[in-house]
Amino acid sequence: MARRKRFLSVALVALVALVAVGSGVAVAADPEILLGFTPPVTGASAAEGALQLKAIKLALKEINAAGGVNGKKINLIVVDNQSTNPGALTALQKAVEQEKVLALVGSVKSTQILAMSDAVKNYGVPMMIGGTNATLTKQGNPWLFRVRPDDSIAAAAMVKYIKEDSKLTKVGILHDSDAFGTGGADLVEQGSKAAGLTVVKREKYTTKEKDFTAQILSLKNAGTQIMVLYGTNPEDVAIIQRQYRQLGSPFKYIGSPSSQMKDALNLSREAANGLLAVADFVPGQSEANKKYAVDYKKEYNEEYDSTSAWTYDGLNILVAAIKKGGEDRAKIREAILATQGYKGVLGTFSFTPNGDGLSEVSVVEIDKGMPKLLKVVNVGAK
Amino acid sequence: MNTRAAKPLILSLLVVAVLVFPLEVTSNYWLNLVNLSISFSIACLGLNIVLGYAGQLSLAQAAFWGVGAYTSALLTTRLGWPVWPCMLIAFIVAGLFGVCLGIPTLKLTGHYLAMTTIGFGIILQLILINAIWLTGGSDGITKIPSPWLGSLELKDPSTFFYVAAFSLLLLTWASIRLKDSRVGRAFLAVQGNEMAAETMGIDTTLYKIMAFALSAAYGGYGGALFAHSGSHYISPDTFSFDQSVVLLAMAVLGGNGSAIGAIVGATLLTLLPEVLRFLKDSYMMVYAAGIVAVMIFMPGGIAGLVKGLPFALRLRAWWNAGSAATQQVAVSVATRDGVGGRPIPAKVASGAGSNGTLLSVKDLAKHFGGLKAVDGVDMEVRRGEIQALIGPNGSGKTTILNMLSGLYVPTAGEISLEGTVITGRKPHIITAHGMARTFQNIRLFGELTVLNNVLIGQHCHSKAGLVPSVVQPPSQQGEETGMRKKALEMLEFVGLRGKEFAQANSLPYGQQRLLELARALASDPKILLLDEPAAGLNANETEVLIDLLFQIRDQGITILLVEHDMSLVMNVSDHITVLNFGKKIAEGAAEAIEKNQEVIDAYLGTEVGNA
Amino acid sequence: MDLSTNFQMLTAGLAMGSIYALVALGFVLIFNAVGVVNFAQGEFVMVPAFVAVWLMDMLKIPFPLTYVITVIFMGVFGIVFQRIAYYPLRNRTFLPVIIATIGVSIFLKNAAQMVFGAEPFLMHRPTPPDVLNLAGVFIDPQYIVIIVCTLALLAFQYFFFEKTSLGKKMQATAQDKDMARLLGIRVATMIAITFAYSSILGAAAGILVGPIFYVTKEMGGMLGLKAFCSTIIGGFGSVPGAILGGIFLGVIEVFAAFYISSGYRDAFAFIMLILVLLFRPQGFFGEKIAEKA
Repeated sequence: MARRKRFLSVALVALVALVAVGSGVAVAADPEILLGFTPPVTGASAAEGALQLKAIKLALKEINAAGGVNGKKINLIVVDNQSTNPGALTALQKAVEQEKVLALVGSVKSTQILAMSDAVKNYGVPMMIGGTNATLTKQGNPWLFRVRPDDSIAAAAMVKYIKEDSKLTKVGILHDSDAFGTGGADLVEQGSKAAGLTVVKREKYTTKEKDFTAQILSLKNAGTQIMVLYGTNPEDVAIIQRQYRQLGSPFKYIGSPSSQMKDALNLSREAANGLLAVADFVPGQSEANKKYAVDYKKEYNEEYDSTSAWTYDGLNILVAAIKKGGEDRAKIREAILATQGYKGVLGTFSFTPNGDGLSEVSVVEIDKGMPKLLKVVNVGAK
Repeated sequence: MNTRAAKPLILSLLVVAVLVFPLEVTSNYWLNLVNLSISFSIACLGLNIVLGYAGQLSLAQAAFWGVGAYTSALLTTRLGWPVWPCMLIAFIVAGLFGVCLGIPTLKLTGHYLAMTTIGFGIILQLILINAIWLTGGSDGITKIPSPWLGSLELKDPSTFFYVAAFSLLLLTWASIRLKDSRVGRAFLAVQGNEMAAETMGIDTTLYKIMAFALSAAYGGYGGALFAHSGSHYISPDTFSFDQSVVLLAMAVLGGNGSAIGAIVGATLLTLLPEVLRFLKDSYMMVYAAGIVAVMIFMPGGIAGLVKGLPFALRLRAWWNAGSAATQQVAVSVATRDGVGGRPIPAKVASGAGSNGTLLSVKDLAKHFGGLKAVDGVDMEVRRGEIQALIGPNGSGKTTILNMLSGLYVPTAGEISLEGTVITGRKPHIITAHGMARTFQNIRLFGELTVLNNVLIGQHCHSKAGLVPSVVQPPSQQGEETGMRKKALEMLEFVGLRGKEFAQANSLPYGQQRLLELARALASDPKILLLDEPAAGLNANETEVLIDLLFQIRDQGITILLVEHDMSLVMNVSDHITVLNFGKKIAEGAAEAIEKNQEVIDAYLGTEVGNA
Repeated sequence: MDLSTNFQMLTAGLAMGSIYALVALGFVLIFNAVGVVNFAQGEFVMVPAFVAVWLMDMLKIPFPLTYVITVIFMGVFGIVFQRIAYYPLRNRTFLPVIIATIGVSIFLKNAAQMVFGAEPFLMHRPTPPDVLNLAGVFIDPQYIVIIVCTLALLAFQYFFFEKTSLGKKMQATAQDKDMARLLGIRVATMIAITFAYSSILGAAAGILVGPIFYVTKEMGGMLGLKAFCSTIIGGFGSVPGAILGGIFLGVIEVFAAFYISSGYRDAFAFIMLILVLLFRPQGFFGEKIAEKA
């Protein structure tokens, strides 16, 4: 027993010493440019993180194969944000202070971006974000650059489609009670009312819910003609799609981008066919995303996922800005904002002074398990 | 160096360390992590109080952390109030939530308690998410202000560090002080043996609620610190059950019952993931495996591990040498004369007359469903006598004792002590009225020292509440000194001097029984209920016990004892009551009982023990 | 509200309820046997689900064989689990065991991610995906299979524990280990078998539930917690209590989500839990145990 205690004590001291010495010794390197990326490698959002890593690594590979920036390779430092808010802040600080990155591709989750926002502003470091909460670029932080269409655009597109194309008037909303779902639902509700539509019922669910019978029936009973679904997790969305079909498809369905993301369609299979959704982009919509589809398939031997492609575009736009402005953060910032008409995978980027890059989304219909373009909707950045 | 000089020196060293730290460590990354660790440490200090001291498991600590964070954030952002008072309000509001959790969980232990706290935590998080009108919902609260010190806004991690660090020092000091005080002892007693604590005069309900409230309050303050630093942003997803698990792991890793341990555990587990980043996606597995390993190999956590090391023992001995308790014990050893048997200082039995009925029982009954354990018993115990309650096993003796001491509520009947009706009152109130007891299966507070066990016996006649227990003003210190004096006298009386700082469960069986007796006597009882005090004692020890019983009676304390050792019973009893099948079948003086045929048939048999 | 909506919800409630009941069954067994709350019980459902998906999708093994292999795997898993998380702690108080099982739960979730990746998986269904229409009420055939299997397992369990010698030995061990030992029952073996059996019940749950919940590392989490609630509501330690508690919980949840609030659905399980513990702590079917003074 005494020996075991001694051994444990030594192990403990070693552990404490390890912690005290810490990590973050910057690796001296041949000239390269350090860029950071703070995805959720572990924790609840690890699935999205994995897809984002695939997308961004594809971009990295192509950029370095083409010579990097002025002969210097890009070194992408990945720091796990652990899917939490404190983790996101810590990851950012580690990337900027310890790894000394020049700029970053950040997170897709709006709450994590808010957690990092103050620090980003204090550091004055450019960060490409995928979060869609409309307020993110309106807080007076000049260092955030959004490379996905924000929720106000997606919501407006949905409302516009419902009013003009489906010609239905009674809208029911089902949403995840998290920030993304609630924010989107609020926008859809406001937009519907402004467009003269009636929101007959609004139901929500907690993330990872397994049974939606109550919510679907409640919407049905309220007279919903078309349901707007603002969901986050692919498996939640897949269960909704399946149960929706099983309960007799009591109304029409149009969903946020998660309704057509690859992971969700893989699970819901036939149930998703015929359902409508809003998507960042659609395969074949442009040359850029045709090429992306082909390259991704070649690299990973599987279909790409549209909701993670923002990291691909994000890194590319960032690197293009470095090429133009040099390794100076302020100049990179100007260069990004000056980017107009850039043809990325997600669409054509033209940055507004706020830092929003995209203002169009596509309305798609799921056909044989793949999203098929119905129409592109450009509602202009707000 | 003696401890009197050492304490202020250590304190100044700490203060200097705090002041200098942010000047040495300038990286925001590390400072932010340190501030985060402090916030967690304070939450773990709270857990240490409810779990480490009071033994109540709480898996809702992250929810209280969240309540504090939200309270302070909402008050400062929505109402624009200044930060300092809001953090204090967060402490209080979280404490109130802790009371809300404490109340439904009072009768629960172990797993039930664990599940209830989990449920409570999950419900709180759902409220944070869904009560959008109040909390802003999942979007969270942004732009939470920093505290101001005069005209200086403490918005960098380095300036906020001062707030965090000094808060930590203060709250740690409070936790450590709390442990060695009347309230702290009450917590430890509740953990050690709740039934015994209750009969020692501790209102276990009150103290459990207090423990939950304190723990929640600490958690809330830690959350407020978190809200006003770092991201200056909070959202509900941070305050999840998983986070409560992490906090629990931190507290347990640090070592249950150790305030410093809680801080070490929290800091290690906050900084460890940073260091293990090189493990990338397998670090969580290493972390989880580590938790299991700690549970298996280091159940006392780091504190437990460190405690047994030689240098720690020497440090503890040196530190304790300066404590008031040690000094008092040493002084009294030096001045006492003779060994054992010194009489308790004269304490005249109070109340009118010296020969009247002290305890009166009328028609007492206890039914467990269809089983009539006690079926209409009348008894009287006269002041100053030793009465024995005997009968075969299952005749209801212990049940009667349990009803008298308040552990069972009688199904029918009435019990009065000195004219006051005490039927069905709670045990700690009955103890305050002057009834103390010992148990058939010894119920000591095994992990506590002998001295502390006896001090706990005095709980209902002392009064230091929560604040005096922490602050320890002269009045409280005086009370403690007085309590220790009395405790030493009790120990002297039963013959346990010299063992004050031994752990109670390290004593041999016979001495444990004596300790239980000393503890009961410490509560200044008018009547002492003894449940098989001679069980397991050898002939010699039984002699000592008989001697003690006579001395106790001579001091004016009435005794009611349940016993199977007939020689003891016949020897000491002034009056004997005999039960069978829940009914009284005989009573009277020893000689009469010996010859009573019904008693012989039911219990004694024809061979009566030698008197 | 019209009848058909209520019936539909009742069906959904019974379906979810039987899933809770199934998981609760495994959980009650362990508690009865060794007095341990197994916080990893949800992962006992998640692990076999991943194993089954791997066998079916990667190795293309047909259904029946997959099920058999998964069940055997989980039996072994249960024995290994108890050796690691329970056995070294068997003489301690409940706290280290609770924490150790929580630790194992976290470990298993992350191990699943490491081995299988983070994306959700589709488990192929043995039943046809077309929903049945019984008198206007739609029901997914997989749910019928779940309900039938749960009842079958309940019947099997009754038969096993009451009528077979091994079952009675396991009961004896659960009630009084020392006495069982004195009677010549090999207690360590009985405990190992109990964990193995509970683990196998988890395998059944994982296989049955996988096609409906989809297979993710988080699929077991809330399921485990709600199964605990079910056992407490029904009466800790009571097997029929666990089943009825689960079904009761499933039904209450759906109706509360519909009529009161869908956002708070998860809260109802815990509110029920707290109410039961406050007013009827032995649950509906459990027994009051008094502490001997």
